[in-house]
Amino acid sequence: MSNFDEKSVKKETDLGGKIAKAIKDNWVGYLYISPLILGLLIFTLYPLLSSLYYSFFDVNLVTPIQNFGLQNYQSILFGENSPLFWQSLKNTAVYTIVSIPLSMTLSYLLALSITKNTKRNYALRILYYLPVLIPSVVVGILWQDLLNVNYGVINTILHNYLGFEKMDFMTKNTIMPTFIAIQLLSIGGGMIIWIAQFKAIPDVYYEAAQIDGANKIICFFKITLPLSTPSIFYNLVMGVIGGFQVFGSAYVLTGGTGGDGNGLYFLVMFIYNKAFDEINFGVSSAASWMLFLIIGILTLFSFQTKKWVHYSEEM
Amino acid sequence: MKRKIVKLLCLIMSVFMLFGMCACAGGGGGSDLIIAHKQEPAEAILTRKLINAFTAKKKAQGQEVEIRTFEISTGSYKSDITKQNASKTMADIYHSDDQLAPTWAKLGVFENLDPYFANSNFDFTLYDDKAFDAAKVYNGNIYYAPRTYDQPVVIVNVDFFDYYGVEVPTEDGWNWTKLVQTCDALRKAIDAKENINEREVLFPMDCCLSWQPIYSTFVKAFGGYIVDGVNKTFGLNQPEAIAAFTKIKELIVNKYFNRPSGAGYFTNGKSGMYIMSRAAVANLEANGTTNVKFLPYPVFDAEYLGASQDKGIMPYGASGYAMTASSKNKDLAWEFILFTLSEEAQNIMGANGTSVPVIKSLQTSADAAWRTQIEIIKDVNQDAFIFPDAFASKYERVLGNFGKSITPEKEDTLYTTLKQLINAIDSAAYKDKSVEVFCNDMQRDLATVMGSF
Repeated sequence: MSNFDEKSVKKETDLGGKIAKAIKDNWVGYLYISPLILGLLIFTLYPLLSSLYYSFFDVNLVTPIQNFGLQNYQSILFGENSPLFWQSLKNTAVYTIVSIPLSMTLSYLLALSITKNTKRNYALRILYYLPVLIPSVVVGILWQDLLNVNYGVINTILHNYLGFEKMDFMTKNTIMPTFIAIQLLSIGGGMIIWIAQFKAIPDVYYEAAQIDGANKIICFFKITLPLSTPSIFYNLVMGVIGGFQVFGSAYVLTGGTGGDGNGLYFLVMFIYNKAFDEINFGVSSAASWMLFLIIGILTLFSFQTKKWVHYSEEM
Repeated sequence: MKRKIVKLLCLIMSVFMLFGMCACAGGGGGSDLIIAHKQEPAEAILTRKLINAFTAKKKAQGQEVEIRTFEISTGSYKSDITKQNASKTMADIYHSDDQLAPTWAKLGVFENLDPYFANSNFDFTLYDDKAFDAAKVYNGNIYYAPRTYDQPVVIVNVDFFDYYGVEVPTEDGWNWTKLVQTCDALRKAIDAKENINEREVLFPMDCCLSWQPIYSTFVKAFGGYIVDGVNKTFGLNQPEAIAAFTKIKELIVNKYFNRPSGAGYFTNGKSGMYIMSRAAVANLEANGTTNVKFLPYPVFDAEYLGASQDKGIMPYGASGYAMTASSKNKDLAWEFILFTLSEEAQNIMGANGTSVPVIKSLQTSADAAWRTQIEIIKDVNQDAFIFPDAFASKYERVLGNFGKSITPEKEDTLYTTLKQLINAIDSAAYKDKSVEVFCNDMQRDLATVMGSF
């Protein structure tokens, strides 16, 4: 009589069997992660696919979904919503192009200045990082009052104590620079990443360079900067993604209107207002997918051109 | 054994976490009616008083009814109704007005009340007809029953005038020329008496010039328009609108009126006059403004307009209760709505002193609760808040929310965009530029935001 059980072997070798065995062996682990998986399915994947579906219909969540077609995309690219869409895209692009390099450079220089582990630098790191913890909506509310032309603290100091004329920081010519300046207060976030990157660079490179007679500037350009490129790349990609999704503080600062001359009317504000002000979820969904496409293309482009990124194991 | 206990604990934890992700649907919880209103303390108190009176009346008829209220954040009233409709958790009745209602009327969320009024043999002649005109927000049908009437008045702080030695204006021949002359006298008195810092925060008039009833009446008085529903255009760059905004800018540049983006001057005792609706009287005593008089919204006189005749335009609005089309208890909802139009309910509303009733008899009655409830103004003439017969020869009443020819869903966007644009009239960007340039930019920016309609 054979001890060989054909049925049980077949059960374990085919795909279904393998899955069943995996679940049986690891069901506790799957149970642990089931809330996360279900959450992703329900709160991320389902809305994602729903919005793609909505983008091809007229949707207001009140009357039945109707009129399948490309009318929403056409409306935002060429039709009645196009002027505002293109203006919001332009504002978003300007903001991203100006603020990302500026914030990366400033946070990099800041990190360079406080890399050493001294008590003073520990305290400074905390101080520089604190503004990052303030929610964007709170930032908007705070600066709305600080920048007020009549009673704001900044104008009070400028006018009453320094003798300058009161400045209107929220006109169409000044609103974007003002907003970028406000956002630069959060460079502490990038600073932390740079500091971590600097600490990951092996000291042996600096020691070897010093033996060869290199000074600090040469060490910076030949060692620190090249070996920082992985973090530069990471911050760049994340910065672009974040820059194109700027919304909270701008919305609060301008009361959802985008400010004077629609100066801070960003793409996400366009999406939000179309959805919740005009109850036009079709156009809003179409604009969301346009935003996804733009960010996707830019991210892909970044990955395709990352030859300038050096990883230490390559050296 | 230990492993089994650990596995059991993991199972229980995961089940709890799963349940934690389940959204709890709101619901009636057994109530006969749910009434939704904005999350404001005064509104909550008033709604509760009306409900108490209504349930007491039903009890006297041998019927027990349970009515629950539901508060919605004021800032997200519109989006919350959208979500409630999508999740089928709508209330039976919503507090609404002529700005909120059109969208929901068009989408069929609010019930057309015309058949209900017809079946009830409702006598409209007893009520202010303009309040019901305001409620005809879509296709000429009534979509909410107005419970309170609103029109802006000029509130005069008599003590402020006395302090600066300026004569208090009277209703005789009250028009924009007289108002500007009063502002001029007050401005000169303030500048003569106060130091440079104080002068910056004191204004003869506290008025939000970017509030739609104000700027829209200016443009209309000068013969212009903001929205042309027939030709589907905006008229901000037309000569008439430019003339109107030129006058508005003069009021700001001469420091007669505060900047459009500023607020709170009158309530802080920094202004002699205030253009506002009835709600402003609620805080008079708390703010220490106890000696006031009320003047009607000024007539645009021929001299001010540079025209051949006067033009009196009185902006107005009305708020009330709308019934949802999805209500499962429409009969009871209608009974409640009808009750709010009764004299008993109108007196309850008037008893807080900040609501003007829509019943004509109560509007004109000298003993009505809305006139007598607030101690400091009970002996003051309050006819400026209503439209007595004497006004009919001087004024034309127009809805303060003028954007009815816009797609209903875009009406809010129209007002918020215009407010933002007009707030910039005296900003650094336009300080040294002509009003024509400002109006052309407004036209361009408004068209960009609004698209077509």
